[in-house]
Amino acid sequence: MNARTVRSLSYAAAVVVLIALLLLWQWYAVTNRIFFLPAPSAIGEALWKQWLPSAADGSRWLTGLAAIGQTFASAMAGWGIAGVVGIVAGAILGRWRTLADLADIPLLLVRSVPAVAVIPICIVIFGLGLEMKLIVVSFGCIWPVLLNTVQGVGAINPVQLDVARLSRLGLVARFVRVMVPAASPKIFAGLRVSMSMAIVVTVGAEMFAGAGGLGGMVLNASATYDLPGLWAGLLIVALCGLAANYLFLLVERASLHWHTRRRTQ
Amino acid sequence: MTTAPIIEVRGLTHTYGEGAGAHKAIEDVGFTLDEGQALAIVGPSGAGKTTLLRCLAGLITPSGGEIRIAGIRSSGIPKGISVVFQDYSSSLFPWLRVGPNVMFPLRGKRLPRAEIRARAMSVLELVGLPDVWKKYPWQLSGGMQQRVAIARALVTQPRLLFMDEPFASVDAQTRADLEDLVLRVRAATRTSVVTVTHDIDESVYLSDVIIVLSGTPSTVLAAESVHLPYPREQLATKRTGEFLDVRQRVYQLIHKTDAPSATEPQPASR
Repeated sequence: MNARTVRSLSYAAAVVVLIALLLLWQWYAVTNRIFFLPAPSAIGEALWKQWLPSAADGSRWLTGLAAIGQTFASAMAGWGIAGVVGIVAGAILGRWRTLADLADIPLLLVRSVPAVAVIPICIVIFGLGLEMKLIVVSFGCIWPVLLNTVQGVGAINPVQLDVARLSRLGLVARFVRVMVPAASPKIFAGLRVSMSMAIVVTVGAEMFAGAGGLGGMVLNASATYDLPGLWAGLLIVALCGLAANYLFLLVERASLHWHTRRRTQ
Repeated sequence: MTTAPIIEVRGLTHTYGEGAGAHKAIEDVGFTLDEGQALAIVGPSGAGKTTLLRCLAGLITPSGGEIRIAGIRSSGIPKGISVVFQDYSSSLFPWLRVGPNVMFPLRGKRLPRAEIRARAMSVLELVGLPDVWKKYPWQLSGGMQQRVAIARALVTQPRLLFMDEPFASVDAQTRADLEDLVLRVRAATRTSVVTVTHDIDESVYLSDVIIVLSGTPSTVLAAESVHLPYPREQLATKRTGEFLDVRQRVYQLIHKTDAPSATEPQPASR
């Protein structure tokens, strides 16, 4: 058996296991009728009604789509801000030891504040809208990028920085052309962790604010004791995370192919 | 203006660190090098050879003394110089293909893109690598990578080329090839070259002047002139009386400063 057959067989096995678990769940839920554990069929029905276009229920799915878009856009925007700020600040801290030592304890302190804990303050200052979400999300997911960039930039081979200096590159060109590419394997690892956090924190902020996006829909379902709707919402959040992660993987693979190929050579 | 020497060094001193942990690497080093000539810097291991080279290339600011490159006392990187480092595997950028690596020093200079490309192509041909433009450096052998590094150093058409232990990480055959490449490049471009090496044969073979440094803190023990005609050839040149004389004088100078190791028991087979 070649590697390809093995892989498709293990995919098939995973699907079989998943179906078996769903059947088990269906049987258990139907026979025991537990309030908080709706049967997969009920969740499927909720999914169908809320998230897929159907003749029966006109434009309801459009509100679902809008919610996905809203959550996705805020998460990506917050993540983007965190990425830019994290890479720039990380590069400065990574190259400037004295500053890094000074910033060490304050950063540790700020980093230990959970993103959800700053939501109430941000709501007071920025209201319930997009601004608040962006601030909370970028605060919540900046740390992996920042710390990885500090580490990656700090570990750049000094010879490469010498080459940059000898080529008379200015500070910005040195940053863009040498530091970021040299540290990019580490930076990408940080960005990836940050991205999953961005979606989590966005949904959290939406739930806290009680309105908007997927978080708002989940909260709404929970408030109206619509358990199948609640579970369907969670599933959609999970799928969004998965899709974002997959898209990111594509970008990462394209950008770091020199790195992976070099290592596997 | 009469031509100033390409390098003029007076009273050069450099100390790393301060206070109790300070390490004086070089002390009161002075020499001159005429335009178009090749200089080798040799000395016992641990001497300040690389420190001296880094001071000359403007990569470190010396603690004291004066350096003039082409008559100009510069702070920072002097104009018209290039450096080839020992560690080719990290001095070439692994995320760029060979072509962009070689073009790198010309980026941001106000030159048309086609001109930059043409120059990079021609230096790659000069170092004997016309067909590797689209490869990544790490797909090439060590010797080829160092050729690419030399091409990158030459692409700016430097007046003065520094090489820090350039061939210490390649095998003996490649090393001989690369030495001959440097001689060819010098003949073609009239570039002045400064090579730091721990290989005495290489220092004699490549240069017109050899500066022998003492152990730390390093001072100039002697400046030996090498009166070997060009073109030089690995076998014929290394058989001449002049080659052997200079080689012996440099060897004795280095090993005099290295005195303790002469009395240590030597391993039987070497």
